[in-house]
Amino acid sequence: MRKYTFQPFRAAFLLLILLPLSFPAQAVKQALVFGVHPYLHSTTLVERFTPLVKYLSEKLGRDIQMRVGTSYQDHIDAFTRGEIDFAYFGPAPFIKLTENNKSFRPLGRLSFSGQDTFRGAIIVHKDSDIKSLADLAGKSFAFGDPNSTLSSLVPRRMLQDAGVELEDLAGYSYLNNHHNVALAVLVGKYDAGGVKSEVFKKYQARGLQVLQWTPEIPTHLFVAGPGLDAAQAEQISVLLQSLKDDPRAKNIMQSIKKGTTAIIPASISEYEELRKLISRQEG
Amino acid sequence: MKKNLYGLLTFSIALLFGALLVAGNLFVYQLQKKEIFAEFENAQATELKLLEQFAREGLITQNYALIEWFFQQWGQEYNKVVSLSLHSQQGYSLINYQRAVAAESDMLVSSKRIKLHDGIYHLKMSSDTVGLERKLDSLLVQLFMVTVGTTMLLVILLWFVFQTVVMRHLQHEGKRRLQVERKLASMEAGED
Repeated sequence: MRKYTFQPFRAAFLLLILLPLSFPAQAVKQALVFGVHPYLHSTTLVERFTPLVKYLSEKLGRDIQMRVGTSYQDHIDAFTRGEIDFAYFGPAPFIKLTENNKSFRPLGRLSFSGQDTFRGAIIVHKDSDIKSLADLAGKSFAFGDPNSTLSSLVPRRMLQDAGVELEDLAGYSYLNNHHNVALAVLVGKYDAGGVKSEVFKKYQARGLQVLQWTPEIPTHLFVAGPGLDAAQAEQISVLLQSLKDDPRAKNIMQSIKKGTTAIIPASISEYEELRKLISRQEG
Repeated sequence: MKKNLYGLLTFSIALLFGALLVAGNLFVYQLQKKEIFAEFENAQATELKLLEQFAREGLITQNYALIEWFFQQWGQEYNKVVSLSLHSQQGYSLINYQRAVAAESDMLVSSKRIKLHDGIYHLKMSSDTVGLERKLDSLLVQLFMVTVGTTMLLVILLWFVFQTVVMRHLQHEGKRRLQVERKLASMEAGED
């Protein structure tokens, strides 16, 4: 029988190989994924959300990767598949997300000096002879992403209310984001378009005017993904809502959207009015 | 009379030398100026072509915001760019980037027409040539310095050659003459 002899080098080698296997997979801290819908082009979105991502990453002690969706639908799909841990949503995509599943947890929403709603407008060129929504029959119209609240869904509802169906338009296109809509109207490519007020204000001086403002709607919000555990979701929610007390708060919030002063608690019920408006249109 | 002639000859040689130097410098300056401006124009034409291709793609796919963002970045990154604009045929502006510059700045203006199925767009870029003027001013200073340096070196060299070759020869001749004169004087004194 062979006699066993202790070999220190072989033992150290085996230990090195087996050591990582002794830890459970959960203990390895993977990066969290934060998703944003493409309401602006991706470079601008990355610039806008980087300060927030840095803040959360530092507070959570975990890396956070940013994912910008290729479309609003792609953002919603990736979120429901669990590829995103928490995300930024526009009101309409959030309504779509919670259409059949109301278990998604809102983590907070934007507030502008106490005002927690915002609006958009149907815009025309300043030289346009269009005076009312009814005049848009036979004209061309630029929408943003098909799932965008203020550049598609609400303007479509407003057109319908004014008796103008999509078929009554001379033509229409979905141009992916609000800025494309504003510039397309500015350059005379389309007679009218739907944009949020922030974008209208940016281009107003260059030759845009409001044909009609949209109703006030609840602001954009942060939502926890289906794969994020409750404790982590609560931690992120607390961090977002206490952001206003951080010395970097102004920089972080102004970067997301000019005028943002706080992230306040949000609930699904706050979006029910908008849900009714949109579902009336779809119905 | 002979001294005046030598002076005039020296002055004429110096004048000719100076005139040749100035002419040479002017030739180099003009050549460099032509090359620098041609290079600048070529670079601007290439940049405009790239911008045209990018704008065409963006206009076809109706990605106007991307064109606006890219043109803004382009303008901000390149200090020489004073204005960059893209207008529709009706005169509506899609992009109008402007940089504040001194009113007296000289500009190089280039433009291109982008013809699409639904209309024509005009792309225009103006660049500040102040950088080129500065480059040429610096060249002028360099040429002046080289000319002064070369002339001084030449004068020192000539003086050295004159001292070591001509003067030494003359001194040697003078010494020999003195020796001969002394010899003659002593011979004359012996005869007496």
